[in-house]
Amino acid sequence: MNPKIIYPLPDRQHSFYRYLRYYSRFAFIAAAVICLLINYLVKGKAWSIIVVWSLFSIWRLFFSLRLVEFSIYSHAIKVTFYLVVLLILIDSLLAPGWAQTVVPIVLFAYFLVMVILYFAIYSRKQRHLVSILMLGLLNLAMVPYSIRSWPIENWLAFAFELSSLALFIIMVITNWKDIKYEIKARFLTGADR
Amino acid sequence: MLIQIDNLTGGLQACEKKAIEDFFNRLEDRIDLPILSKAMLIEHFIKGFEYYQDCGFNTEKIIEILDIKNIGDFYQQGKRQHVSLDNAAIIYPLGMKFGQMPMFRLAVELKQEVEPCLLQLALDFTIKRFPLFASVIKNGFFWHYLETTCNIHLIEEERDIPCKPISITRRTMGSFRVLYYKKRISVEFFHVLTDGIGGMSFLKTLTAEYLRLKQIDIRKQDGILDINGPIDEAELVNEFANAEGKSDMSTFVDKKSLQLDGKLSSLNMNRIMHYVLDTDELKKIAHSYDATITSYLTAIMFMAAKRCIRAKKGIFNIQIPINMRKFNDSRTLRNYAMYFNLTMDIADIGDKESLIIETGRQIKEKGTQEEMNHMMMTTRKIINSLTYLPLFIKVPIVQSVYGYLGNGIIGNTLSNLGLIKVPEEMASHIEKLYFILVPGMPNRATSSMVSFKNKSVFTVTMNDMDLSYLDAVYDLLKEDGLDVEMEGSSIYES
Repeated sequence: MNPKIIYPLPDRQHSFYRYLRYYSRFAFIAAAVICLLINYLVKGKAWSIIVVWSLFSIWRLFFSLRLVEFSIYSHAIKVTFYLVVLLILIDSLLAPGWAQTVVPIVLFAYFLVMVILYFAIYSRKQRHLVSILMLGLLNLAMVPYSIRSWPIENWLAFAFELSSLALFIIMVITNWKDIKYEIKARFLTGADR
Repeated sequence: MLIQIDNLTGGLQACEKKAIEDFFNRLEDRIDLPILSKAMLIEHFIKGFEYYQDCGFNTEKIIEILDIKNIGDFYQQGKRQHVSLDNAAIIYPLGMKFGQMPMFRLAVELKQEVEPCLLQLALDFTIKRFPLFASVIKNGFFWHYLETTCNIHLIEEERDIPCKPISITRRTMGSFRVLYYKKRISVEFFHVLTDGIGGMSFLKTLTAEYLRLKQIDIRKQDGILDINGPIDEAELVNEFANAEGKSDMSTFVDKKSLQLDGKLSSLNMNRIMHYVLDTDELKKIAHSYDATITSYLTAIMFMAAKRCIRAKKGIFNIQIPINMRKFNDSRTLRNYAMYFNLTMDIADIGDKESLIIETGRQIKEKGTQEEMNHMMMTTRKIINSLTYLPLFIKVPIVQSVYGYLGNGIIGNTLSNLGLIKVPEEMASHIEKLYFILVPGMPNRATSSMVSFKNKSVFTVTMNDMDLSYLDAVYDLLKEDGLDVEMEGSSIYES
């Protein structure tokens, strides 16, 4: 059997990322298990949970990218989500008392940057609308956490949450037509099946 | 004007210069895309102009060939449309993993080298007639869905392994690609868009448009669509919704199949082999066993598999997709195929004659309209029962069971597109057609076949480091006295 070769030989095999991903998985799992074990043995504060969450975040953000609809905007939400949870974990497990203020500031800053980019840069804005709205909703979802001791201590967090709400309302009003379309599309149930 | 066209107008008379300028002004008005895409699309026309000028065509003739009506209003940002995936397509994005994507390739080998600038224009003109092919996949709350776009699609020179997964991550990326290499035009589809029949219609229409740009007029028949004609709603129908009959869960349940021995290739493809056969000769051999081509080839596949499997116990299944259009009259270009499995106990695979009788019997018994309708109804029932489960829950569940319940119950596949017809004036410019399927995990091989004029191309795609199966198939075909011309790829992973 001596076939005529009719396909070009690829310049290089693109398997580096695949191998990196494959072997990193074991390294990540090993690191997480070792941390949990050491933390359990030496007792003290549950710092290993923060390490495990950080490892999980790195995996999800760099080794497990979305296969459908990946964009800077959607990735920014993912980053924000993992970061916020990390901040809350550090606050709860290691050094309490600051996340209630810091988290709304971080979230609002992200949201503000994304909204500015949305209005300023991209010509086809509607593509990123859902990501921006999700970020807005994440902001609003943090309200109960941020204002749990309001108004005695946390007026600053409250101010940022209010600002986020205002931004969110502006986004909804200015994009109402596209939002209606997105809701209809995203909640397709395939009635024609 | 966005792009300077001075090099097109040099040395021409004033009226010709004016005609070219008018043409490009009208073209610019017709395109409402982001600036980079707009410039690229205009550049395609400029290259086309240059090609025809080099060929000695006059300006009037070039403008006639490249008529702006060919892009219609496709590149004007219109209303977005969302479309549910059809019932067969719905599983593909759910089961998709990094580096694994159910893809297939249809290719045509012409008698002359492909002219890239004309192929690009042919694609720019053809795509508007296939609106669902120009769509992107999006995440819904319950299911993935398609959203139509007006982005430009670029052809690529073939440099990589065939059917490499398409990056659909970006929100502007389509789910197919058009490639050229020497005399070959290939279209690779993510199965979510269409099946082999719909894909073949696209390839034929694209090739016909390419030939028109080469000044060969092709009649719009045999699946070649009029690129400037209206879009037929019947081509966009999800025919699974019209299925009738009883559902039967047992149609999906089968025992785990043996797989060919050997380690899986890390590239998902290690070699492609085309066995080019004379159709009449193949038919004659199959008829000498009182069999159809499909039952003859599946028997060959079973025998070759037995030579490559050390296990003495267990079953080996070959999946046979069935084009449902042959039972139900349909013009849909979306997925409309079902399948059944041919099953053989590995210990029972013996002489060719009895094997061919058995494969023929199973095809007759399992490939009936009634059985296929049962399967369609079952698919519908399963999908409907999962509808209100959010996508983020469905994805991990499907991913964990897909490989083993889906592909794990089959050891090989034979997808036969049959004899492809095109108008005579087109046929005289075509040498061969090719059809390539990618094996799904954990399958080591998958087979496909397409016939054109008197050449049948039986293709085996290997995802196995051990390639002895290819030799076994070759030896078995030669044993029957078939004249086998071999074509294929190098070994990708040694």
